Amino acid sequence: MSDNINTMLTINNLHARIDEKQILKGFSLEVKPGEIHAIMGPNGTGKSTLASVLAGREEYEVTEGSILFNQKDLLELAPEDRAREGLFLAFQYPVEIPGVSNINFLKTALAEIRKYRGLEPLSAKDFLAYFKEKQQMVELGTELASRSVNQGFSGGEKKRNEIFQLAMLNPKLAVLDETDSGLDIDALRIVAQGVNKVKNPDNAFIVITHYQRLLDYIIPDFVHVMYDGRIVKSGSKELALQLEEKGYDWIKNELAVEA
Amino acid sequence: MDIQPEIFLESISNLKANASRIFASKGFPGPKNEDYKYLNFGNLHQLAGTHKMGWEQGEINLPLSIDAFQFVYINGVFKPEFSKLEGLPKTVFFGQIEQGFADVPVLSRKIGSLADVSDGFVAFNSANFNYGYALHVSRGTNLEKPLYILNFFTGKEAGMPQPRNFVFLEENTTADLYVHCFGSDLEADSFFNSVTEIVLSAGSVLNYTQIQEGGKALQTVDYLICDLQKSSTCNHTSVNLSGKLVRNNTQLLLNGKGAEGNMYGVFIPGSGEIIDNHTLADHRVADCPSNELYKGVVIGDGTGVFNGKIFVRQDAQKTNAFQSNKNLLLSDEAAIFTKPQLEIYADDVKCSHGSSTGQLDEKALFYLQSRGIGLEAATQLLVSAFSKEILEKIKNEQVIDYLINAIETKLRSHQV
Repeated sequence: MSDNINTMLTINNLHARIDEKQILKGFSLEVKPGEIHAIMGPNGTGKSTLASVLAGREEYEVTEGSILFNQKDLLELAPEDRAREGLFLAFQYPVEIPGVSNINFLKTALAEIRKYRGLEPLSAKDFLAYFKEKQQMVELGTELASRSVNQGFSGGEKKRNEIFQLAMLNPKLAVLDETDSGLDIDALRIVAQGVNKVKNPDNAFIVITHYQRLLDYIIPDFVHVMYDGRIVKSGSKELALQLEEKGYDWIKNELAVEA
Repeated sequence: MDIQPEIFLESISNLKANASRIFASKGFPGPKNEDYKYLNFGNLHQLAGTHKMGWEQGEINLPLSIDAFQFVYINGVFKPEFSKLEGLPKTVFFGQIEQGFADVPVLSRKIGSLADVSDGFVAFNSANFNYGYALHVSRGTNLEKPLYILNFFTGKEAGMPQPRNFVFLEENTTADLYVHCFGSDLEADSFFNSVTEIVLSAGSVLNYTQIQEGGKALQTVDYLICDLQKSSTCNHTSVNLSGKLVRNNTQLLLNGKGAEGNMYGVFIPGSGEIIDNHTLADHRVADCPSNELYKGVVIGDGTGVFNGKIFVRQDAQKTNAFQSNKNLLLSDEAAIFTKPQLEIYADDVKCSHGSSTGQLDEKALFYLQSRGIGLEAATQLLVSAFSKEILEKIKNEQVIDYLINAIETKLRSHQV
């Protein structure tokens, strides 16, 4: 593992479990600014667990290994501090929060993140302009501001709302947990467009996906295949196309042969 | 203009004498009384002799200022310098209760006819009341502004203010009433015992909002009873944010066909506080709807009580009565006692009751935290969202904003 201070995220030999069941078994990954990493794999291999552990869900226990984010020990940080440090998780199943409006929610979040970074909160006028600009980017209707968070949203709208929040909060590292699941081609296009607009040389993305389809729109720099709680194969974007063609059994067979 | 403190007509003397007799034999209810079993008022008899708390003229910052007809009482004494009566229609009597006896005949006839004097607190109030407001809206009046009554308590002297209030709406009139009890500056343990009797004539509509911010030193019993005539409506919203001990007795008597009674409430007892809401929807005739939603948020080691009674009498066919109580417990020490009481004697009715008590949705909390929002702010957002359903019943936007702020302040000062 390099000590390169350019590295944004270093996951080293991560082992994690939930309720006595070991899910991550030696997961390691390095992500540098400007990079897009895709993580693929069959169901049950630990993809969502990885996202949950990064976000700081208490149900998951890390039994071994470390995560450094911007040279800080991520596992020591509370979920809100991880967000304030610049980590963003786009949830696979975003929860509905009746009674909390989208605008109030994001205003509070942005203010707390800015405060953490020593910045003044945006003026009401600036915030509203910023909100409208990002809202157009993900094609969410004008009533979005006053609607409750995710309440009554379709699956596609919920995923677009995740990307909208990503655009608003402008994180350093965004983890997209199966953002493409349940989306039709139009929603997929909008989500990918949003990501591509936010992408820049200073931030990075980990795109967790089951299907190759999303990666036609969000071009990864690296593709990793997860199996049995760790990365078993890494490659360029061609690896995703190979998986599409040959299926995950191809990887399993390769591993069996090697064993 | 100073109002003579004692202008009593014969019927009033009888009311007082009778009530005194009853109180002498019954005394105050205590924890052994089933209806008051969660409440321990301490030694009320000590306070009972001290009606006037005294207040020297000084700086008073009124907590809320809205465009309304207004009366302010400080430590149980009417302060005319704070009154706002400009533009009050001549067909409306809005004045002090003593003047009401002189000027509003129905008041003298009806006072004491509704409130149940077998309740020790009502008896004591009936025997000892010495201030309060009266409202009489005559037929054909269009009251364009709301009415705001503030009971403000401050200082280091203890007391037992006892307001007696009376509201009479004639046919097809409407009134928006905001009644506010505020005592955060009060330092001496005091007891506020209020009785309000309301008569709503056919087709009249009363929107009554109770705002309870008694503060740490004030124990309160607030008794309100409303006689709803044919096709009248009472929308009663109760917002209880603080008080050493608060007991609300809210009773809607559906006496006329088509009368509609709605009771909404949000109560947020903090550590060391107890807020007890006892309500009654009394269906006495057919074809009346009643609707009730009370939401409690209990902080620290606070206690909340909800007891909702629905009484459907034998003749009250086609009753639609719905009751719901939802509660959030914000800590392991928080407690809520919730009980529906349904007594149904008619057979063609729709009645339902439901209660749920839980903690803040963990998934929602985590989602907010994952966006950088700390536990404190996340709790505020979720509690505000929870309370909103009740606050939205209130018509005045300024009052809603005031209450949203007050709830946020309450959460911050009792941070879990």
